[in-house]
Amino acid sequence: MQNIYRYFIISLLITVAVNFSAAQNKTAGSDKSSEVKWWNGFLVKMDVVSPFVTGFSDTEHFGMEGSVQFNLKRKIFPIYEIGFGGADKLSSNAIRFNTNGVFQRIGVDFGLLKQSNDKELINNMLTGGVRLGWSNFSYDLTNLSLSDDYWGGSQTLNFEGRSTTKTWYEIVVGIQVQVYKNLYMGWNIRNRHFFKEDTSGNIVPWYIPGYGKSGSSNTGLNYIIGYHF
Amino acid sequence: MQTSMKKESSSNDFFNFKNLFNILKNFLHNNFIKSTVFIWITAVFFFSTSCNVSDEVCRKEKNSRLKVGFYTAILNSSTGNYTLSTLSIDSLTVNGVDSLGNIMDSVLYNNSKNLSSIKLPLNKFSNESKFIIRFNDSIQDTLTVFHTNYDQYLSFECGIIRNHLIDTVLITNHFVDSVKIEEHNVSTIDAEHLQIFHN
Repeated sequence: MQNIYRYFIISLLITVAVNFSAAQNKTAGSDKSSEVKWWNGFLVKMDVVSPFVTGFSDTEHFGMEGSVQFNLKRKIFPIYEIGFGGADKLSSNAIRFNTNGVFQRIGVDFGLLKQSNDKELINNMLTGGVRLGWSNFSYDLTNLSLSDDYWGGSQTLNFEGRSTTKTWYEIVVGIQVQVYKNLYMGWNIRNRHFFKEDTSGNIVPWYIPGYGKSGSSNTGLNYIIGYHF
Repeated sequence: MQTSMKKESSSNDFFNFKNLFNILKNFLHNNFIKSTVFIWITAVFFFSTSCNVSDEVCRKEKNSRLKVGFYTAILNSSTGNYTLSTLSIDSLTVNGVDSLGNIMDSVLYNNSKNLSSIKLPLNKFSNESKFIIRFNDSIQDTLTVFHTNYDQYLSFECGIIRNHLIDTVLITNHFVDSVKIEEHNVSTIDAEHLQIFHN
């Protein structure tokens, strides 16, 4: 686990370094133009996909999330995301899975478009970044049946209130545009990966708040509406 | 301004997708209405592709069976060593015996021909499984397997299965000489767990 965190931090630093070197190249070429301020306000965003999906998928799983993203130098965008998610699902062989919990993610996005230092603010951006996500939640996995076809006998197993913490990382690419004055819209695609694979044979949650359906990797989409302060 | 911009774009070739980015950038810059439409279209596209129907049928093996192989030892006259050889039983009948000593109604193998190995179900709700094996319709032996059981969770679609760990094996010696435990863990992984020897 320690190694993975280290890996995450190192990769984060590399990304930052690469972006800084790219930024330095740029300033060297046009040092006469005005410096971009460090602080450029922050954006409060709401995801509109998760409630939309909730309404159209027979409430199999549900979620809601929002985020605060800071704009540093119009190039670096640290972000904090928080949300609530859960699922209530019946499998084809009558196993029931039930969970809900809060999840959080921190990370950073980088503007991938070259910013020209014109007077006009450019608020449309293509960003790429990483997230570190975690969720502490409890889940029920009930009505697991065991039966012996030959010797006879059957048993139903219920696992209730199992508490677990999951951590994962995400690679995010997205677009964000200024729609009107301080109103922003955009989407991002995220590819999620666990830090640690589950030990096979043990009970695992079918759905993880903030991650989605359990699996070694998972792709998600956020469609956001934001307001700039 | 113009020249500095040109210089900048030519010197900075860090991104391979520079052209693509520039096209996107210009597109997003030039008008907001078109770009929002573009965003909606891409969002709808991702929606339609991401909402695929997930496969919710279990496709994993759910039976863990005890595999028993039959062997005979052949004496190599020149070296004086015994070599192991699989034994094909002409006719085999196998029945389970419950804890009270009654023969189970359903037959596992009924006069099956030319078998060199058999697969037997162990009792999921007991630590003892007993079988009567009738060789060549004449001699019969009783195989008793003592085992512990443990659960393995496969997936949400497949649920849970019960596997076994072989503890001790007993066998009567009418047709059979001896029995050997090759693999203790009886799971869905295909392996030979017991070897029965006959001379």
